[in-house]
Amino acid sequence: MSILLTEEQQLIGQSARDFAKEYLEPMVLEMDRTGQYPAAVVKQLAAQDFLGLFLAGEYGGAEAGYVSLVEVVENLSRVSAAVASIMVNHALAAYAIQRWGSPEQKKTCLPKLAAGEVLGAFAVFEHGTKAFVRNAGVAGAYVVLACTDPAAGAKSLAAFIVNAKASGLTVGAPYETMGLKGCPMADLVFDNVMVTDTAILGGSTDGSAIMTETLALASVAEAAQTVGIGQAAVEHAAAYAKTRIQFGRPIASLQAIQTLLAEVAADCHLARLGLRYAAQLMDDGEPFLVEAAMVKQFLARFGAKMLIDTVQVEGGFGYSETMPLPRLFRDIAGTTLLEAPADYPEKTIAAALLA
Amino acid sequence: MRITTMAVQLMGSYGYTSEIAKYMRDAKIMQIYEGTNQIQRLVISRAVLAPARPAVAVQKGGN
Repeated sequence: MSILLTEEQQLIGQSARDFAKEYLEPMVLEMDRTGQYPAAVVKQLAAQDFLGLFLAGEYGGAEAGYVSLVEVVENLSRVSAAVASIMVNHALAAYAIQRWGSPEQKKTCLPKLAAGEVLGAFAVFEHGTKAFVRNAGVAGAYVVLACTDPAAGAKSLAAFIVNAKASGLTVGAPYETMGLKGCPMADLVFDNVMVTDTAILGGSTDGSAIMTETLALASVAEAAQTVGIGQAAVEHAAAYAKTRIQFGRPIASLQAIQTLLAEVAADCHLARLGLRYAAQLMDDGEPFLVEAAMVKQFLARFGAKMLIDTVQVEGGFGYSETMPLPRLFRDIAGTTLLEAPADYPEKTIAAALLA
Repeated sequence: MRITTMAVQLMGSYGYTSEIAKYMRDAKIMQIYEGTNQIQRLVISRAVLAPARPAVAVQKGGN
């Protein structure tokens, strides 16, 4: 356990920064405008080993662990949280299969996921169909949570690996989302889709544990997205404050502006430490659900505020869509609101306190 | 300050009269001495606004 990055983790973070500059900066505005899935960039993510970052070497993974994962996610998110979101949702499926898959399932699925030959997706939430599934339509393998006995409800929850080509599985019309444009989102419709026993991940009643732990990883990874967006925003607002002259001097010289920037920078830094701590627990094989929930709860309070306050610093100019903060604002709404019910982190933390 | 304020609130009138209120008083001084919270914001903002320097230095070397 170390709170500081190792040299390897720093290098991986730097490679993600370089990647974002080379591949994401040139296309990010166009992707935000059209919402087009960035297939070419996802191929490049695979070429960089970013799609198999924490997978074991025997499956073609980089075996770099979860601190490296959140480093990459944060650094990609400074430029495009949408691309990071594609990577994160792929990682959730890969995580579930590596953690609970049988040797056979791992041998079949993980090398393709690590190489980016097949994109993964994780489908949990329901309104009759699996709703709001990220990477829906572009994924080749879905990890799907479903009840095996409707009468028993959540107790019978099981996780299945479902091939995108399975007969009866269709993808709904893509949602036009507020932010994270480019990361596909759609419903999955299951019409008498047949799966065999070999499709079940873990035991037939492990679904609840698989869901809880995989969503905790989602909380940590999304926190990294939020911190990446917040860091980009505070750096942009600081640079803006130094060049914007008002009352005959740069607004950066006003204490009211300095106070806003300081609060955002501190929140961003503390969230980064919190999420990195949770990722380090994962690398150490320790329980991390409570720490993941704490980060999620912290960013539910302060995540979007990082954009509210940095837009405030940039005033009317910053509010214009020709400036970067409105896009970051729409993206941070996605990374702080999705993937789990709003009361989940408090429940998890309180359960640990009151045990 | 937030934690101790919430703790007093959680305990209601009893919290207001018990020793937990002392924690709230003790927490308050943390916002004042060794640089008030307002001064801390100015210190942090200097790093944020410094030319081409990250707000937090990157640690060199493995550990």
